[in-house]
Order: sequence, then structure tokens, then C-alpha cells
Amino acid sequence: MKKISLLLAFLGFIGLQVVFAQTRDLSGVVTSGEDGSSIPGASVVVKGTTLGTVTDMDGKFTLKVPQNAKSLMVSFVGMTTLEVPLTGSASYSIKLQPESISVNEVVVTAFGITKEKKSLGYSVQDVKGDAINQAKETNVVNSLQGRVSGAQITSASGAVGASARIVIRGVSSLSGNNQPLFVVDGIPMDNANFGGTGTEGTNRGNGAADINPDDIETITVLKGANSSALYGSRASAGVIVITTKKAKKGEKLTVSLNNTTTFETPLRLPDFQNGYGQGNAGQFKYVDGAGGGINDGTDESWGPKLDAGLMIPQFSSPVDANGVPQPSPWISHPNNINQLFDIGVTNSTNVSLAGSSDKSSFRVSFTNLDQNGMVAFTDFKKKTLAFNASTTPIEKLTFSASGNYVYAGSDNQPGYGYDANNVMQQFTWTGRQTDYSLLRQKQHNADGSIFNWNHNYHNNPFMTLKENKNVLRRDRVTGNAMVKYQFTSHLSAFVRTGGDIYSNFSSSRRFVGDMDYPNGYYGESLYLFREVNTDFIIAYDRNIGKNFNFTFNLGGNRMDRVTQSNTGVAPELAVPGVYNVANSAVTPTTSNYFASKRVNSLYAFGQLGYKNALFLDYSIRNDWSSTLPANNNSYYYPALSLSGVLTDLLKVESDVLSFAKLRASWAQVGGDTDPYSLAPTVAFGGGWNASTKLLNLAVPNLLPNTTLKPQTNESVEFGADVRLFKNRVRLDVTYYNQKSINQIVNIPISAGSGYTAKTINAGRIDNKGIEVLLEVTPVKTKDFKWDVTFNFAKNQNKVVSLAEGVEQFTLGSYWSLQVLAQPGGAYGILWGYDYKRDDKNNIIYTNGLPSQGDLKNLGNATPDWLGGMLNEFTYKRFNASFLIDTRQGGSIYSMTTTWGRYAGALKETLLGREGGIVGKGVMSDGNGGYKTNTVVASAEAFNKASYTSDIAYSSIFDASYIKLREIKLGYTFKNSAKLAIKDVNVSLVGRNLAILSTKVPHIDPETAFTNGNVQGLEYGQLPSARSLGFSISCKF
Amino acid sequence: MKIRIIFNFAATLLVFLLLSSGCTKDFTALNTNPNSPSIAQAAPNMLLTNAIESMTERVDEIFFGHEMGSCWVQHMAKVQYTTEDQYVPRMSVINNTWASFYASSGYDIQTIYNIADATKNDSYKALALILKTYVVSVLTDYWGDVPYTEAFLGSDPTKAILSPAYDTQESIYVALLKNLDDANTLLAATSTPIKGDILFNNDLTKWRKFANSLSLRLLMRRSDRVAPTAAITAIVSDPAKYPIFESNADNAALAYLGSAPNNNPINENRKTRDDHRVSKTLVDQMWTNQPNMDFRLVVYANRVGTGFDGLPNGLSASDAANYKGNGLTKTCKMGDYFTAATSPGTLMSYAELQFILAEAVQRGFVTGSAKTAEDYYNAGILGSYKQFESTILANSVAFGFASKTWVIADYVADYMSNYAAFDPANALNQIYTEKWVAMFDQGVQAVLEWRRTNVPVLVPAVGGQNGGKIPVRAYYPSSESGTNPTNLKAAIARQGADDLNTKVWWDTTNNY
Repeated sequence: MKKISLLLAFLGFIGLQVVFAQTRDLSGVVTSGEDGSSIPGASVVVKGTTLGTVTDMDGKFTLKVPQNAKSLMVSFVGMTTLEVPLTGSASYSIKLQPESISVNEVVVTAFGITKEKKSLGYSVQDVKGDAINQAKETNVVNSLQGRVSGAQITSASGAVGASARIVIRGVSSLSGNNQPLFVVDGIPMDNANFGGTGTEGTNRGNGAADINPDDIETITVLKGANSSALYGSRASAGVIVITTKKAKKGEKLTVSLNNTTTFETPLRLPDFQNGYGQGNAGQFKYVDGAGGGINDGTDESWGPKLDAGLMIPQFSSPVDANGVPQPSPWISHPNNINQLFDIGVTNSTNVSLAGSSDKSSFRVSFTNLDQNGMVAFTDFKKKTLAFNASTTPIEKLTFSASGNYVYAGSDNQPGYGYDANNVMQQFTWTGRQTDYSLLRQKQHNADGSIFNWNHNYHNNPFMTLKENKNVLRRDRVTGNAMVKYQFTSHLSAFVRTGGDIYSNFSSSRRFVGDMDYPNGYYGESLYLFREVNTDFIIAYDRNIGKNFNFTFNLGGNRMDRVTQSNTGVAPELAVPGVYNVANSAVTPTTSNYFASKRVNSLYAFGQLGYKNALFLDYSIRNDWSSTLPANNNSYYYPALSLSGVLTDLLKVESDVLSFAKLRASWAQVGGDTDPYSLAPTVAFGGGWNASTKLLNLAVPNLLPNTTLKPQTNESVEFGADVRLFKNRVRLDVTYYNQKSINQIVNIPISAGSGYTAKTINAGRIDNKGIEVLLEVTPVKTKDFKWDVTFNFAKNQNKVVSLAEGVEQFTLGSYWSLQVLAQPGGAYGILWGYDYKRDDKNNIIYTNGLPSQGDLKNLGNATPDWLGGMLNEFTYKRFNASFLIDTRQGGSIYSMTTTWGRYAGALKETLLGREGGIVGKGVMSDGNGGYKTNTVVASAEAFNKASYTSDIAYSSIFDASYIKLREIKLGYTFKNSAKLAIKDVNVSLVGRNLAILSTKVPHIDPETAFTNGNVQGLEYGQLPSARSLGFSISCKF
Repeated sequence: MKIRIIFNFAATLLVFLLLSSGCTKDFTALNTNPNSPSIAQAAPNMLLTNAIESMTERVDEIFFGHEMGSCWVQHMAKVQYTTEDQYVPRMSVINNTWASFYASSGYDIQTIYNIADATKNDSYKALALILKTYVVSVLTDYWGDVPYTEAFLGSDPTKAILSPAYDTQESIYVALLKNLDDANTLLAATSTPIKGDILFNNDLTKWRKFANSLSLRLLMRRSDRVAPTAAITAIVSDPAKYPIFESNADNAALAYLGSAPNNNPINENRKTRDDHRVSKTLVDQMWTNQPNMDFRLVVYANRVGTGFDGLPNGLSASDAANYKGNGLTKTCKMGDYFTAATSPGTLMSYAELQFILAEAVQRGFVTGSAKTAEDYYNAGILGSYKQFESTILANSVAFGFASKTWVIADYVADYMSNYAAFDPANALNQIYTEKWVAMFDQGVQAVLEWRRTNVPVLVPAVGGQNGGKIPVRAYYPSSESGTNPTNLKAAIARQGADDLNTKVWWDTTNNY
């Protein structure tokens, strides 16, 4: 007790009164009356007080109770609350019976308001913190993979600190953000993509990755507009509501410790050939690596046969007195790619301290995460300090506050994409005979010149990794403070203010001598973000008569957001090795940007309940946004939902049908846009850096619009929640249909107008689909329990219309392929060139080679359906689980195949190396018709003609996959009264363990090229990480 | 105590409510962009710098000027990724080029014009007319009918045309020539100084010369359609009223700076790419009679060993890589002069003007000319040699092709006597051929001129994917079919199939 008061005083809570009174000690165990298993986490409270505790892992509790205590109230989710009269005994064995009629699960909804799940008229799904804490993901978004129906998660790569994208119920915005809003303890948290300086290709992560898994109590996913209408426009793509851990009522001062250590290796690497080395037409001889020998400037592997006893001068060969390389054995190095990877190590340790008295509670937590990336010479660090406290200094008045400081940083993150700084890109373009271990050992020759296999296109890859560092430093503070007052048992109110404030610094270096930046380069960028939300709610709750319950809430919110960025670039370095903008050999380029935005909102919402079984929810919200024209900046949107628990209404009591609920809802969400979208300005160009710098002003190509209107998202949803056989089977089905109209979008216009795009309200995208969550408990005995959870989601996305006269909207392009939105199709059409074909669809060959045909729809990045299956087993003190998830349908354009085949690096290019290839198809018969192709082409010519950006068709694959996402195997030790240490759990954990099925060669089909709206593209993928390790946790 | 708390709470909420609902007055200030000047604050000189840079860089851009220009006219050839050299241009390049000329440089120039017109600044107004003419001439010459009279009006307060109609090339030429004539008249009458001019260093006289020289180019380009005699004679006969280029010092050439992003686009490309070689067609023209040679080759191409070898156009990627055993090392790279960071981006040269005048006299378009076609022809060759004088001298001596004592006139004399002495019977052919040689590194204008003259005889690329023909047009951009379909369809219906073989209006010759 003393410790608690000291700590609370330390935390600044004054006026705390700790009661010391005559007490006696009780202990006991809580078990299930159904199967006798112990119930951990059950609440045991002295009736009429706030004194209490929760049961431990074994269902046991000890409690000091006042001498005059009469009885204990024992409760647990899904069980009937039991009142246990106190006798003279000091020990109690308490059996709870399952609740058969209804399930009083509670979930956190908008504004952090907890509601009984049965009263909700829309679909939500929650994930407990425990489920994701043991097998940790550095990026919490990845933890949701396979667990939430309807959520599509795409992680960018296995690079340290990489981003992950989450889209719920499909893409609904043409060009805006399609990811859900993240809300932590009631305050929105920015999930921006962190970019860096202008030219770099480095993935700096996404904002939600700063959320620490160790501090998460629950994650609730509000999927559609129906559940998220109250968060406003940013919530139209759903909301991820995160509630952080707090001390439980009656929890004694507890120290929790856990450590997770995992080891990462590449899940999948491309299959390279080892039969032929560098060169063209079977010829190679190294002289200077820049074209001075025979094909020694090329970075392709169409050279002489390897391991055939040939002696050929190479970059690594001994040299004669004149420095001329001498012939040396021409042999393969099949494992050369492994030199780019180390075994990654991720070590995360969390220590937290929590406790509560009858009036106050607190929790502080510190987490240290250290990661040595599996890509050599990369690392990532994250430190999180979190606290959470509340106190009720006088009756009815509660203060609470929580805060979080995060440092996320890296001394070096790897480059990605089609960028020379991506070592996987270079590897595809590397002579297959190259011995990377030599390059890793040494980067410079004795004379200081660079030691490398090629001096025409490529850096020594280990100079890229060691010298061209991409540094990240992000400091972030989030938190909120709230005061709540309970005026009467019917009326309460709170005011809360909270913020998300961070600075994100990133820099990017190129050494002097880099192939792309021969004179070196340094760029840095600092992004500052501040969002403050202040809100209040007045809540009224009243029973009317015996059967009706009525709630009404009135609230308001003000959001202020200010962002600022400062960028400095030294295009060339004066002093090699010094990375400072001031060290620029030429005029450095600098820029800064400032933006501010404010949204004021007022809202009312509430519920009308009948017999605690039929519920009507209503809400209406009005926003005023600074980003819209003054005469159009106010907009409102309503929502309604209805749910009925049939088993309660019809008084069904059955061993078969335990629970049945139907629900329906309708909602609208309005939306605004980015700051400064209304009035035209002139932009600063790069500058003409003559001796007198001339200012470069340019009229931007985007035509702003002073007549913008708010955009609208409208959706309906129907669902059913049915539980059978005493809750052994739990089925939740949802159908939804939502349309996004009047989107604020930059549509392309004819460049002849002087602009290439104009901001307008246009377009409609529909998403309809079905989500199924099925939980089954096939076996449940005293010692053994098996739970299976299936989830399935099928979303049908359709771009209904774009703007008047606009037939295509290009989301992005990659080589000759465009990713499009087109009316009638789903978002994300892969639009590129096919082979030239005859009218029977045969490929036409000329001189044995195919050529470019028509531009057409080659596939779509959108999947058909997503699913997951989680199996959980507990046997006595053992627990085990595995999670499998799948994505079916959708396409991916893999440039690893394109350029890997063009360059002769991939295994498939071994075909026809000696005898040539006869392409399957037709050739001209000389009379205007076609006959079967019989012309033999060399493997080199055939692959180069078939696999280029000119024919995208050849590298489009079905992106379906099935993955073994996670395995956990744990053992919880029995608590001993002699030891202070409790609840010791040891687990083996693994994530992203195996691709069980895929049709895409060489790469992990799951990972994405970007975190943005342009999906379905891949190149030079930094492989995703297979992570295996162990986790230990305990309490004191 | 309790009452006070309730009171305070209620007061706080009330204040908050008022703030939320009433406080939108400051929104306009909050939503005013503090990062960039408004158009009203932009000075013409600031827009001018960027307009010149943007326009010139786009003309010199690798995928456009180098590959859809220099490669198609067989000055250059591709040794890797050869599809553009096989007449398969990338649609993204076509989209970007069109968008850049209209929305980037073009609209910046239009904005200069609008500001200058409103503020009665005739200097900037004249410059805007000249630059707009240059941009639109490239657009119409590559594509044929393009938007002009309804172009650049997207944000016009009264018209706001987002989908401009296409004008015929014939009418566009009339308008462009009028622009240049108006510019010449304006510049004759004004002396308002300008700033920000990176093309002629704020020298208005040179702009005037450029306007009139450009007139001669356009008059000659449409000469198979519209008799140019009166207009050309008017210019040639009155140098005081119509000053034109008098030496290489008058060239319209952007002197790129030494470092990115203001370096020559070819220099930037060569930092990471090695896809281009000098075409065999050009090397054979300049080197076949060795040891007699066209000495400009030491500027145009880097040697392979002690000699020169060009790469045939349009080989497949593997054939190019394996050409003569190793295409990359056995064929000439573009000369260091052109791949240097500061290599100028030439929009129009004195040499080109001399060949225009030589043709004009030879075809009888100038009445009462004091100079003969031969005079202009000789001046063109001399001008071209002088354009590269220091490099010709340095390299020819270093490579052992010429004596140290030779001055540039000696090189020209040697070349003329062995190769190019004026032959009245073959004059036009000679003028066209010399123009083709002189316009190396000006891929856009070189290929346009070749379309008109068809000289020299070019054999279409080996692996050409255009029905055995060299392209004489570019496809319309796919962006136009998406955003301006009605007007685009009307233009295609009027002009002919939207392919690489439909000739533009002024192109009346039989290409092969």
C-alpha cells in the first residue's frame, strides 16, 4: 500500500486517500461449473465496495477484505455473476455457470464507450492484446493478419521498420487514404506513410507502427461507416480502436516482465540458375568491368557455362605484373545471395508496473525493442514509455490521463524498389558466377579504388549497404487527459483533450563514387506533426418504465492539425564522407512546407432499448472543415441501427440455440479534403543555380476548385449472430453494401487546357460483400480444450463512375504498365501490353521471337476473398495455436521475373541454353496467314524478347496464397506460494513461417511495392522475414 | 462544492459549444496557402527561367528527342532495350511529352503572356509569343492537328475550357507565323529590360533574331503547301526590319550548368545508362572515305580503338548486344562533347538557318538575293564546323587526323574538296544531306526536316515494328482519349488514322 501511495504521489496525484482498516485475508479458486477448468481473469469484488481482485492463471485469488464484509461478487465474461456469502472460512471454491441465454461481452465503440456486444447494430471484431503479444510483430498492423475478417493487410517487406497497409472492406476512395483511422484511448493517431527525402527509395514505416503491442489491452475493429460514423470523415474506411492496458480494479501492485526474442531469415528468395555466368552469347572475359573486356560491362548472365572446367579472367582473378587479370576457374557460387543476409535478431523486453487502490489506479510500462535486420548492416530500435492513471479524489469526479513516448530509429534502413540502392535489385542484375563473399570481405583495392565485379552500372553491394545509409529518428508523444463527472446516476459528462505530436527525421546518403551519384549526395528531411483533439460528451441514461431504456449523448470535438516539413539536399558533396547539407559542392536545394487544418464538430447519439433485447441506435454529426469553401464547409451525416436478440425477445431456452441476434444499420459519412485545395498558387521549381541563382516559378499542373462540396460515403449493413450448443458454435455473418460518391478527386483533364488535372467532386465506388466469423469449440473437457476460429470475407469492388468524360483514372504506372480505375471494373486494373497474337489468340513469332501486341486489361490487384483459420489448444498447463490465412484471387505484376529472365539470372532461363527455344505459337506463312512456329531462337534472344517491360503479360501472376502465419506453443508454470514470482509462461513463437501455396514464382506474393493505393506491383522485393523465437513472461 | 463543480463544468461546455459552432470565420485565413506565391505575386522573369528550362529539357529529353528523334533519323541507335529504336515508342513518354509542352512549359509561357499583356510589358509579351510558337510548333509537327485556339484556357475566368478543340495544322501555322511577326514588331518598338532569361542572357536583339529565324524555319517547313516566296523575301531583303542569326553567337542554345538538376539531360542519362550508340548510317556517311573524313565525327562520336564504327538501327536486344561480337564495346558512343554536363541544348542554330536560306535560294523562294545558294551552303558548313571548332581542332590533332597548324578553315576546305563541293546539279540533295549532318544532337528538328526532305535515303530499322516504314508522326497520347475524346475523334477523322504513318499536313513527300 505504501508503495502505491508513493508511486501515485510521484505521478502527481494529490489528494489521494488510502484507506487503512481492519482486514482479514481470504483466498480461493474460481472454476467453471461446466467442465471444472479454472477461470483466470475472473473478477472477485467485495459486495458494496470497490475492493477486489482478479484471479490468476490458475483461477486462484487472494484478497484482503474488511472484517464487516458480507459477500463476494464473482464474475467473468460469458458466465453468470455469482454472489458468494462469506462464512468464517478463509478459503472458497467457487464455480461459475456459463451464461446460456445471452452473452454480455462488452466491446469498445466510438469515443471509447464500452457497450454490450449484443446491443450493437453493426459488425465489430476485437482482438485481445494477449493474442498478439507473445508472437510479436514489430509493426502491430501485421498482427491483425488473418485474425480480422474483411481486413486486407499487406506488409511492404522484411526490411527493418517497414510499413504495412490495412484496408477494410475494400478500397472506397479513388485517390484518398483508404486505410482506417487509428484511435488510441479515444484520441486519433496519425497513420501517415513516412517518406523521406525526395530521391530515396526507403520504406520508413507507417504511423500506427509506433503503437506498442505490450501496452495493448484490446484492438477493436469497427469495420464500416455504420460503426464509425461518429469519428467523422476520417473513419469512412473503418476505425481501429486501441485500448491500452490499465490496472484492473483491485489489482495489487504487480510487476510484469516479458521478453520475446526472435530470429529472422528470408522466407523466400528467388530461384537463380547456377549453370551459366556473366556475359552475352556465351562470351565473357574480364578486363576492367566496364566494357573493356569481352562483355565485362554487361550485368547479364548469358555468358559461358559454369563448372565446366573453363578458365576465364574475372574480377577476382590474380593479376599479372601489369595488373591484367589472369584466367581463373569459372565456377558457380550458388549461395552468393546469402551474403546479403544475416540472421536477424529481434529482442523485445517489457516491464510494467500496475496497481490500484479503491480510488486510484495506475500503470507504467517500458518497452525496449532492438532489431538487427536480416538484411546485412541494417537495424531498428524502438523504445516506448507508457503510463496510464486515474483517480477519483472526491465522489463522482474522476480524473484520468494516459501518455506515451516512443522513440523509433534506425542507423540504416535498406533501399527498396527499382532503385540501385536496393541490393536485391542489383542482385538480379549480377553475373551468376560472382562470389559475393569476396565483395563482403573487401570493398576497396590497395590503391583505394573500388573493388567490384562491375564498374559500369553497379556499386559493390556492401558499399551500398554500409556507406549509403538511410537514417531514421522519430520521437513521438501521444496522450490525453480527461475529467469526468457523474452528476446523478442518469447524467454524466466528460471533457477530454489529447494530442499526437511527433517529429520524423530521415536522411539518405550516397558515397562519393556511387554509380548513380558519382559526386556523392546527402538529403535529409524533417517532418513535424501535431494534432490536438478536444472533445466533450454529456451523457444521459434513463430507464423508462420497466421495459425501456433511453440514452442520449451530446458531444463536440475540435481538431487542429499542423504539419510542417523541412528538406535539405546536397546534390554533390565537397568533402567525401561528410554528410551535411552545408557540405554541398553546388548550391544545395532546400524547401519547406507548412499546412494547417481545423475541423469543428457537434454530434448527438444514443440508444433506445426495449427489455434489454431490442435496440435502436441513432447518431447525427455535423462537421465544419477549414478545407472546404466558406459557403460549403458545413455538412452533417446521420446513422441508424437496429438490433434484436431473438432468443431474449422470444424467450427461447434451448440446448441447441443458445443465442440469436439480427441487426441492420444504415449510415452516412461526410468528408473534406486537404488544406489549400481551393485557390491557385505558383510553385517553386528546382531553381536555376547559376552564379546568381534564378528563381524558378512554375504554374502547377493541378487546377484547384473553389466550388468543392463535401464528399459522401453511404452504407447499409445486415448481420446475424447465432450461437449453438451452449455457445460451442458461434457464427457471425455480415452483409454490407457501401457506396462512396461525390469524391474529392484530382481528375485528369486534357493538357491542352494548360493543366493536367482538376480537383472536382466526382466518381462513385461501390463495395459490397460478406463477412463470416465462425468460432467452434469441438472439444472441451476438464483438461483439454480445442477452439477453431474461421474467418472469411469476400468483397466485391466496383468503380461505378469517374468524372464526366473521364474513361480511365490512372492510379500509378510502372514501366509500361498502368494501374487503373475504370468504370465497370474493380479498382486496381493492371493495364499493359499483351503479346502480339493472331485471331485464334496464338502468339505470333517473327524470326522465332514474340513482339508487343495490344494494350489491355491483364488482371486486377484486388483479391476475390480473404480468409483465416486459427486453431487453439489448451491441455492442462500447455497451450498451442496455429494460424493459417489466405488470399485468393487478384494479380501481381512481378518485375523480378521480367528482369530476372531478361538478365538470364533466374532458373527458368536454363531452358534452351544449348539447343535454343521454339516458342509455342504461330508465324507468318508468307501468304497473309499463319502456321505453327518452327523457328529456333537462342535462349538469350527468346527471353529478352519475351520478358521486357514492353510485354507486361509475361510477368503477371495469380497472387493467391496460403500462408502458415503463426505458431505458438506455451507452458505456464504452477504458481508456488513460496515464490514471489507468478504466472511464469514460456512459449515458442513463430510468425510468417511458410508459404503453403502460391502461383507466383520467386517472391512472397503477399508483400507490396508501396503502402499506398497502387498495389499489385513488385520488384526486387526485400524478402519477407520468417521469424522464430521464444517468449518468456512472468509477474511479481 | 458540488454546485460549484457543476457550474464550472456547465460553463466550460458552453464556451466549448460556442467555439465549435461559431468559430469558422478564421477558416479562410487558415486555409490560405502560406507556402507559395499567388499568381498575382509571380513575376514574369521568375516564370521565364523555368519555362525556358522546362521547354528545352523536354526537347532534349532522352525518350523524346534522343529516341523518337535522333534514333528515328539514324543519328543514334540503341544497343540495349532497343524497342524504341524499332519504332515502338512508349505511351508514357508520349503522354509525358504532350503534358509537359502544354501544361508545364506551355502554360507557364501563357501565364507570362497573360501577365505581360495585363501590365503592358511588351518585352515579356514578345518573348512569350516566341516561346509559345516554339512549343506549339513541336507539338503540331509531331502530332499534326493539336489544340491551339482553345488551348491554355483551363483557368480562364470567362471561358474555362477543359477539353479544347483541335485546330488544323494549316491554321496553326498561320497563327504561329503571326505570333513571330508580332513579336518582331513588339521588340522593334520596346526597350523594357527583362530578367531571368537563361537563353539569351536578357539580350532582346537576340530574341528578335530568333523570332525571324524561326519564321524562316516554319515558312520552309510548310513550303510544299504554301508558297513562301513573298514572306521569305521580305525577311531576307530587309535585315534592319527582320534581323536574323548572323553567327553561332546568335544560336538559340541553352547553356546547361555543370550539376544536376541543371545539367544536360544526356549527361544525366549517361550517369546510369549506356543504351545508346552512334548510328551506323551517320558514321558511314562521315567516315567511309577514310582517311578523308568529315572531321565533325571526332565531336559526334568517341572512337572505338583508332577508328569509328556505328551500330545499325533497330536490332533486337540480343543482336545488338552481340553485334560484331560485342555491340557495347565495338560501336561508338556519343561524343564526350555532347555527354558533358554543360553541353548546350540547341533549339536552333546558325548553320540550320544557312541551309534554310540555301534551299530558299536554290528553290527560287528569294527574289533578288544578293547571295547564291552556294554561298549559303558554304556558310552552313563553315558555321557547323565553327560550332564545334575547339573540339574538332583538339581531337583531330590528338587522333592524328590533321596537322597542328590547321585552322578551322583548313578542315572545312579539306572536307569540302573531298566530300562536299557544291554541285549545282545535285544542290538540293547536298543541302539536305549537310543539314542532316549539321543537326546532330537536335533529334527533334532533324527528324522533322528529314520527313520533309527525305534526304539522305534512310533504310528503315532492321527490326522495325512499323510495317517497314520510318515513323512520320507520333500517336496521340492516351491521356487525350481519356480526357478529350470528342475533340480527339474529330481530329483523327479529319487527319487520318492515329498511327505512326499518317503524314501531317505539311508533309507531302513520298517517304519510303
